Amino acid sequence: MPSTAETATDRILSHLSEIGAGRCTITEEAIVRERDPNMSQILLGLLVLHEDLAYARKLRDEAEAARLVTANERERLLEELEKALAARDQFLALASHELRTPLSTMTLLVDNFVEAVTVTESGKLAALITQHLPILKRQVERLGTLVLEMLDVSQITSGGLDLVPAPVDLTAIVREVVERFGLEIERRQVTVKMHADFPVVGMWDGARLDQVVTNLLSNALKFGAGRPVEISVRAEADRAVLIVRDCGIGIAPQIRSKIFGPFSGAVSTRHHAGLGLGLWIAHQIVRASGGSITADSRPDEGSTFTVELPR
Amino acid sequence: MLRTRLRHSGVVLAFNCAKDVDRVQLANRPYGPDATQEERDAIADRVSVIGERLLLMHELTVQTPFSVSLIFDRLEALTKDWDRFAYVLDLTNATRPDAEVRAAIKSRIARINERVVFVAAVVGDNRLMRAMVRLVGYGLGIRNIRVCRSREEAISEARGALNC
Amino acid sequence: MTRPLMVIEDDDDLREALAASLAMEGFEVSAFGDAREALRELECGLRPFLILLDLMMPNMSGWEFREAQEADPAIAPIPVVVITAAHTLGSDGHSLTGIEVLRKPFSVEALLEVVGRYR
Repeated sequence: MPSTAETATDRILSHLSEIGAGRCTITEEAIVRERDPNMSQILLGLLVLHEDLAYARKLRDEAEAARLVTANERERLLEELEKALAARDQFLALASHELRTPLSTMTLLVDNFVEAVTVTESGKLAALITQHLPILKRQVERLGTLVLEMLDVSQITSGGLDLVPAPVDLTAIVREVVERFGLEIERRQVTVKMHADFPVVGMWDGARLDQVVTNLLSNALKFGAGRPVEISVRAEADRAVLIVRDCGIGIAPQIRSKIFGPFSGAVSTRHHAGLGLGLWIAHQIVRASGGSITADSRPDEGSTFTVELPR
Repeated sequence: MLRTRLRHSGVVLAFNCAKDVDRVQLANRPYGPDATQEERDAIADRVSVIGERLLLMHELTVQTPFSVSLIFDRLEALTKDWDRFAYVLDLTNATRPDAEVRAAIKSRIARINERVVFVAAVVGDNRLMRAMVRLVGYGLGIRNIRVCRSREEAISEARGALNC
Repeated sequence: MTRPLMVIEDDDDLREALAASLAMEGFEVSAFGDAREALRELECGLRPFLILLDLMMPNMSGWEFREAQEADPAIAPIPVVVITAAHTLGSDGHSLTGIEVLRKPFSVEALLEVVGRYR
């Protein structure tokens, strides 16, 4: 017959090994029922030990889970950083190409002029000038636009726009921009319908608004697939609404959320010249003026850009 | 709540277990950070001064790390000018705290332990809490802790310890 | 009959400037804005003594053109000089080992110096 002392030791050891395995069969009732006060105290001690171990394990698991979340978060941020760097590199490659191409043309044309001046007869020079000058002028314009666009981006990203508000008529601006695009509209043989009959006046930066309208119209012509373009300006109680709509190639849904971003790559960069920053710049200007710009578009069904400005 | 008069050393003390009028009845449930201001005040009011350098801590039935922090915040506020003090710990209605609460109590006790001369615990018939006080008291680093049968005995023991 | 010089460049203005510069030097120029069209002409028997090839083009890129050219033994031997704004020649896994590169922008002098070596 085992002595009481051995039984007690056996009980304790058995509970200890349970606890080591992460279990405990001691209950509060058993502790209260236990007649030997020392045993009762020990059983309570074991139960408390088990609880403390379980709690420590729980804290450790939570810390591990938190560490995983941080690791996942870091992974995600790294991915995003890589994507951003890739987008920036793609932009730089595009910018390089877009700038170097007109420069190449200008270099060749001017070299030809120099050659003609030094070597050949003046008659040939005159013919050459007549042939080359329009091309030369186009390159200067292209480079000018690109450089100004990059300067705008530089300004916006470093300090922000310095808008100079003054009483401005949005309708008048729209008319001016459409007139300026006259040659290109004719060349592309596109119909541009204007619904801008009444003055719409507000306190805005006229030059910057001109830029917004120009960028939107330029895109509508570029991606309009030759179909009609509609521009409308109207006044509401507290704001002005400008809508530029085309029926062209539209914007793919997965790109639509990013088109107002800086390196959006909204359209394959090989198809259309330019840095692809027009929408981003327009967005920055509109936002800085206290307004909003949204795009509604489906592939092959065209795009509608809506600008709202406070009055 | 009860208002009990005690005769001690010829001085009559007014003994408040809590504010005379309970702003809110505390239930036997765990209280957390979503508790109302009245509930928070009622919990903190479970600690009160009952004499010179002597406090009463009437533990909640169900304790949480949140309730622990409220009670010990009040305790620290009440004892901030005392370099030594004692308290009566009423555990008659308390249930056994879990590991998380014990950890919270342990860390709060560490902040005041140096100044605590004596803790007199009242457990009534609560056998489990009696064993708990012994076990956990040592584990929590409370050096002088005694289990007493009643509040009166506890107060007497505590005063005795303070006077040494 | 002298063999022509083929130019494949999608930018209209640059293509015109290249053609004019080369014509001024007496070359017969076959200029294309689309690499697929150029490839078709080669497959139909056009045999230039040199191909000036732009890399970044829509539809068919310079790299894709090279792949197609190398796959056809009849036109594979025709020498190619790449004209490009890119700073790395490799793209999408294609590479252009052993090919001379004219980096944009280049002068007429540089152009003629390179072309002259293949005449």
